[in-house]
Amino acid sequence: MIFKLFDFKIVTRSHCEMINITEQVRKCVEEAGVKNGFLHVMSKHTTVSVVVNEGFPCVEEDIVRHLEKLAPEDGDYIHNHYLPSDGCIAYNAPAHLKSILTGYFAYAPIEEKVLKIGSRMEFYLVELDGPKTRGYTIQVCGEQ
Amino acid sequence: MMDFHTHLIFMKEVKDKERWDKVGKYFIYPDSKYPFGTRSMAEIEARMDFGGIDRIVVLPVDCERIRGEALLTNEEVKLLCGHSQRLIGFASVDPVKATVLDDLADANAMGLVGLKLDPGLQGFRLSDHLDHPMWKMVEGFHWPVVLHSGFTFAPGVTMYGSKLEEIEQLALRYPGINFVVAHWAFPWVMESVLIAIKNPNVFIDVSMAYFDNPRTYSKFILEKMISPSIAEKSVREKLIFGSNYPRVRMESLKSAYEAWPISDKAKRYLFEDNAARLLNTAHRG
Repeated sequence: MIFKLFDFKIVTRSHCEMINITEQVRKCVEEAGVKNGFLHVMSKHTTVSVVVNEGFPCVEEDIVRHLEKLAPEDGDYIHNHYLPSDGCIAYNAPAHLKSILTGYFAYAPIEEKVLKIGSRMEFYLVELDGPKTRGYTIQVCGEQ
Repeated sequence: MMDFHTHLIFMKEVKDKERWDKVGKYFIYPDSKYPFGTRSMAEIEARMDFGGIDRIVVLPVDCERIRGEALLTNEEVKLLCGHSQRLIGFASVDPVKATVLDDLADANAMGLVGLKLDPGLQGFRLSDHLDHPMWKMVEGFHWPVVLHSGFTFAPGVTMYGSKLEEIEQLALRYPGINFVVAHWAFPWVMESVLIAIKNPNVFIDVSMAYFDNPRTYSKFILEKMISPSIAEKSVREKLIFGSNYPRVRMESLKSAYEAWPISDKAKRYLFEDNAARLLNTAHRG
């Protein structure tokens, strides 16, 4: 049984955007050399999520647009106040709410060194409070 | 489009994590369970690109004498400016230090183009230094001077550390220096506006938000503390956009002021022309 952890950093470019990381996930499976097992992709932030969905720009745009309706930027949030731990006011409650709606990790099984996901499933890192430097991990586990 | 008030702290290009932690403790959080990570110039430029911000003024604070570590040193500002042509570097000096005039001369030789002072954070009173020879030197450089005024989130520093009346005294004494009152001198917003209306050499930077969110806060200032008419008619040539990043995200505050119901011309003054006017004066030196 092996556990291989891959750490990534990225500078996001927009306030809310979907970044397709499917190829990176596949490369991690290949590099880990796991024959049968599974992987997890995890965001290291409470305002960045990881989702799996269909890889069309129009779907990406609809997801971002719908999240904005569910947690609008100009909403009335208790979080909008001074946080001594941050030395500033917090005004990113919408990003936290979008994050819990979309989740911070994704899972997929591996069989015979192949990622066993549906043909239309792609992995996305979802920036909800950018632009920022963001981190995420891909952990591949299983037998060689 | 320019952001006239940023502090590029926590930048990996200039200090290691240990030294940034010291800065974090006196400037941001004395005892936080979530200390900041370091940032990169690539992230700053990504943020500027997203916000449509072409240039930013980087402000250091020489508070080394009483805080042990400067917020940024003049040399660090120069170093940061070497990483991006979109940065405009200001200097900071401590008038209590014996080396202050040499420090100013060095900063000018480095190509820095303005002065930033935060008397409360730096541990001196402006009123004790109204006749300091540094002012004549600054005047000779044609540097604008950004002065913190009013409330601050910096731990252990009172909101009375840099008073508007002291700034007005400076402005009267040195008509050849352009002074920028930072953060609207909040909560003394109307007082800062009146001083800017009266004194040709006093400007106001609109940076920072102390409660709610940038949009609600800037609306509160416009509707409850001054008025759209005052902004449009009385101080449109005196207001300068700044964010006070990283305490407020530059693109968030820019978007908030873009929503102000004032003319496009007044917005052009706010976001570009007034700052450019001060900096052109600086570059003339």
